[in-house]
Amino acid sequence: MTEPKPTADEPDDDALIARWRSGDERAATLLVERHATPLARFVAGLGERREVEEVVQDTFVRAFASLDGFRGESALRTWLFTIARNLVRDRARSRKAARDVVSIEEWHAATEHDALDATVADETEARMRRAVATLTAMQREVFTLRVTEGLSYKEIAAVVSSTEGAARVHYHNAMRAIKEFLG
Amino acid sequence: MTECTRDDVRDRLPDLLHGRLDAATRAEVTRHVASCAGCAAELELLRSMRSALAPAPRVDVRRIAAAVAVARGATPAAPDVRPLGTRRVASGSRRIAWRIAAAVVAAAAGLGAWAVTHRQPANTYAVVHQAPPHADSMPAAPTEAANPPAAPGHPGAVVKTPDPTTSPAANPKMLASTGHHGLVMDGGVSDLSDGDVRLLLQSLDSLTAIPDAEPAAVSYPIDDGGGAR
Repeated sequence: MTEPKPTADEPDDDALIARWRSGDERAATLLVERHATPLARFVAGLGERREVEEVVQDTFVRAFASLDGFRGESALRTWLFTIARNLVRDRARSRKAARDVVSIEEWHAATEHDALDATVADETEARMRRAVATLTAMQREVFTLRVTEGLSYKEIAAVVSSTEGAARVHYHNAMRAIKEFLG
Repeated sequence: MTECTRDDVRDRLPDLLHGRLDAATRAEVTRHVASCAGCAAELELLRSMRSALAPAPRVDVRRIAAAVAVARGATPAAPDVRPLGTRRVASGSRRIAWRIAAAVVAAAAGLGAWAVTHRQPANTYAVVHQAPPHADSMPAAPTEAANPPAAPGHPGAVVKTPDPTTSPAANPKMLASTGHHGLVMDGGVSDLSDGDVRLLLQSLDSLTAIPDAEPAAVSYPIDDGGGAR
């Protein structure tokens, strides 16, 4: 992954949050730089493809607006993922309410995206993406958070509003389904 | 792929991949993977999956940071970067500005129409007087052009008094009658015939918003009771 991670010389999230609370706006920028790309990947993985940046921005705005109430019981990234997931779900519900059927435009956009994936990416990677696409929404979320972002079951449970045990089951079911797909 | 029965180790493979294990646990898991084909294959699969799913859509970090600052009421670090959320506000302001402009234009048009349809009777008389006389008893009334205004009471002053024979009040038909050179108007535009409307439009076309030259200065003698000087 290419997104910046705190090194020994860089302040961790808690230190940056403390600096931001004391009025250091630069700390907010550093936090955004650190977490924006994983968030964008997660948001795209949830199926939000057209307004990824808007969702990511909204996530940060909401997070910082209520950061005073953030007790640090979970990692900041876990909290951000939780907010982003809720935003994506809200948007999906709004769209579903607006129109119950998928528009032609959206269908074409999805088709073109998939076609582009198959063309540009390595065939093996394209197959892996298709394998993930066959998972249920919950399996896909759990698998993505576990494998791509490296979250623990406990953190995943917090993001998807489930239990640690359920997250573990979803992960292993997802893994089994992917192995079967890939043969 | 041979499945491993060490679920506890398989559970930790993603953590091994992301370097989230402490030294002791990492050593134990690594040792097991080295001796277990199933776990080695699964770890390789996870590595490939992570690589396949890693590409993320590009996001403008500066813009997002600016949005956070704006939302907090602080000056954004990069003021030239407009947060996504403000686009709607800006576009909404533009829409309001256009609506105001449209309202102003509509109000100006309405005032213009009102001014045309509510001309004073004095103008009406002047126009009517240009109509061909139809009776010998009807004298040609002075027009404003031929008789410049003078102070009331002055010998040269012309006090316009509506001619009862040409007054609209005395002759209701004149309210919407036309002459050869002009149009008599009163009431609303909807009262006009097609011909009247054509005449009105022709007169409007002949109007110029700005006169070609300033009007010439006019001097009037002042009667102070001792005669003109």
